[in-house]
Amino acid sequence: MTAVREATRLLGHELATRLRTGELSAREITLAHLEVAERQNHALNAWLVIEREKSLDEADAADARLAAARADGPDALDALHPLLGLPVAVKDLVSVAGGQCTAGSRILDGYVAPYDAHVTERLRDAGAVILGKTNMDEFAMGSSNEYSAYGPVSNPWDLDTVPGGSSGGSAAAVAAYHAPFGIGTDTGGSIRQPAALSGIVGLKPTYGRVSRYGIVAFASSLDQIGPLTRDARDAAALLHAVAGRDERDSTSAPVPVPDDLLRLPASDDEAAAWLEGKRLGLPREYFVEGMEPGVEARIREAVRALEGAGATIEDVSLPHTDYGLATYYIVVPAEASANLARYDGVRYGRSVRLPGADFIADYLATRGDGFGPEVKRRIMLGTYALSAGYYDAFYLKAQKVRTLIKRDFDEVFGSGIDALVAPTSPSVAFRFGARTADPVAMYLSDACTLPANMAGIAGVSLPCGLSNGLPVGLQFIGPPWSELELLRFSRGYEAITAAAEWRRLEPAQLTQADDATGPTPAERAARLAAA
Amino acid sequence: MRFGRAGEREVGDGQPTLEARRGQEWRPVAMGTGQRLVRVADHRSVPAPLKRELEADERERGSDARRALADVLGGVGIDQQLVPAAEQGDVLQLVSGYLAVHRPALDRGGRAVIEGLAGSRELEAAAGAGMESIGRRHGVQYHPPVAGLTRADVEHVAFLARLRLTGEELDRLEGELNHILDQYAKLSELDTSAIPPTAQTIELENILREDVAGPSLAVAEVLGNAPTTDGDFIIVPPILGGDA
Repeated sequence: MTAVREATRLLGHELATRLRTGELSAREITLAHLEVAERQNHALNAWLVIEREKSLDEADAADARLAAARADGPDALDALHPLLGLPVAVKDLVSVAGGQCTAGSRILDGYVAPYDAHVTERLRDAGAVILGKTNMDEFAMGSSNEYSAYGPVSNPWDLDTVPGGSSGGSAAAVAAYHAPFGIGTDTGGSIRQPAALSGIVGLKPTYGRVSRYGIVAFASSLDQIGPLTRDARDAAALLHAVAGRDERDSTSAPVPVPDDLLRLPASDDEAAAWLEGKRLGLPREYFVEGMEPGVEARIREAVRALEGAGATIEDVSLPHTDYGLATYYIVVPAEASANLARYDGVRYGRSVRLPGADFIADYLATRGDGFGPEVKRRIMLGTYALSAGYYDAFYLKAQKVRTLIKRDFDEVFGSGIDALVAPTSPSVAFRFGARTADPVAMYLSDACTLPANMAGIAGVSLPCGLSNGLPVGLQFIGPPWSELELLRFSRGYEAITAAAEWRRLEPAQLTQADDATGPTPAERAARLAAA
Repeated sequence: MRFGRAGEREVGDGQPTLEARRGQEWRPVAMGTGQRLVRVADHRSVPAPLKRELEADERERGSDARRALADVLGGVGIDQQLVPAAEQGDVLQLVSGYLAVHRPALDRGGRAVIEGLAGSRELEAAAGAGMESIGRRHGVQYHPPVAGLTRADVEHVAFLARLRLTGEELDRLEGELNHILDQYAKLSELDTSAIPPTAQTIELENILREDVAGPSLAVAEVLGNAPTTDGDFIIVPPILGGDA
């Protein structure tokens, strides 16, 4: 038990070191993480499937690769990717050949992915161990994981609250030490917001950085795949593994992936020194009325700490920020309604065939039964916004405002600002049911993250302390292809706050999560709804 | 079945616009970072002190203009309790001015005259201007609905999207979609006539590859997920024949 606990508490790069010194094997590491994940899934519901057999086979293969490299000498050992033999929690919209891929929807219940996504291939190349598939809001539509067809996920900091979404399962799994690495996708904040609410690191790369081949599509001009981890160095290593041009996704860009992602400074002094002289912009529109005071206080403290480390902080303005939500909620439903038109119950997925009915009736029944409420809402919005006579007023108008939002960022970065620093979410984790009654209230959760998606640029969220005992996320936003710089900022911030009290804290309700006889997240949500 | 028929009819009333519609309920626009969270809650409840103030005001009011204000606000669907008592003067002034010029008879009172004004365009415009000015002062944006989707429209869109919805779902969606579409009104503030649209954020063009066939998935794997198959084929529902 203690050995298990210790192994799961280690960061990815610490585990990689122990693998290479022979202190731990990939099998031992995998077994330790499997044990915690299996024990806590009753209380957290972070995993839709845990692949014990397959992951142990992958761990054995990693141990074999390690042994062969060790026999070949130090160069062969150095050539192994830092992800080798380490567990990854993969959001259940990434295709892993032969396994389920539900995208959190009933309409894909029973679907078996016939091929690997690009991301999956890259994880296999690196030798990572895919521990299983994680829970998520249906088709990644949501900010709380409450829109999953397979039940909500509890936040290990407070089991009555949400972990954020849509990558809520990956975020909760990484925060609760079920895996050092998680894969998420981010269309409007679905990596960064759950990272913030769960107290971990989450990076949304530049659009085009990671191939979307084999990912269930949501809004194709915004979706990006990225890492969820417990520190910046691990996020960098995972991004390094999965990024890069893939000809099967014509929007994946032929931009080199910097190997320096694997060389973020281990030393706090070096990491902190990097901050010296950097120019950080503080966008005034991100500090808004309605933001929780505790969140604002933590962000202001973080900004002061960065300033104390030698970065200059400049007030900047992104004047079209206020138009982001309305723009996003036109563009996204429009793209989603087009993408989801493919679920017709003919080639794959749930299929309802009504005796004697025509094919239209079959489509209506298949889709009406297969999709959940938020997905239906967005399909309806998108269909309406794209319908005859409304295209110009809604979609085209939104695409034009999108240009203005992008120009705001271009101007700020053009003026020499290295990165923007802002809150990730205006609130900490909220209770089950707090925002499901009003769709607009739920959409507001993404106000500080979605502008980066609209502009196609990179953003990272990292923990910066607690408010009312729950984690607060600090966001760095940078120009296109600035992931390395954003992670250096993150690493720098980790270094200057390395001694902070809150860094020693583990999620407050991990012990309760060990109780496999207590309430499930769905039961907690029902209890709160009845109260 | 609860569905409209697919046809030539446009969704809505055929006036594609983000501009204000007349004679419908005004709602606070919540979708902007400048007024989020707090504002969403705002229109749910009126704080007790404000309520008392409004009630006292109600007892005292006697003038035709103030009565006209209530009627006008009611006529355009504004919940008067949303307007802080102190700010009602804005609307009142506009309405009084309008009445003094256009309806001098009203000064002598008369309920019937006021009722006759309920649908007046000018009065609605006056009330609208008043609401905008109040909104500016309070950082709340008021805007009339942009869509006004009816139940029939919702059914029609559901049919276009090939979604079978229950009566309950349609009821809920009618309210929710109108609420969400109202938020889009914010975009009408921006003049985008000279702005090009952005569909793709990274500048890639003409990504081509050699026209060479690569390996494909085995037929059996592809068919593995199909609900009904026959040999190497997927059985699809008949799309011709019958009474279609």
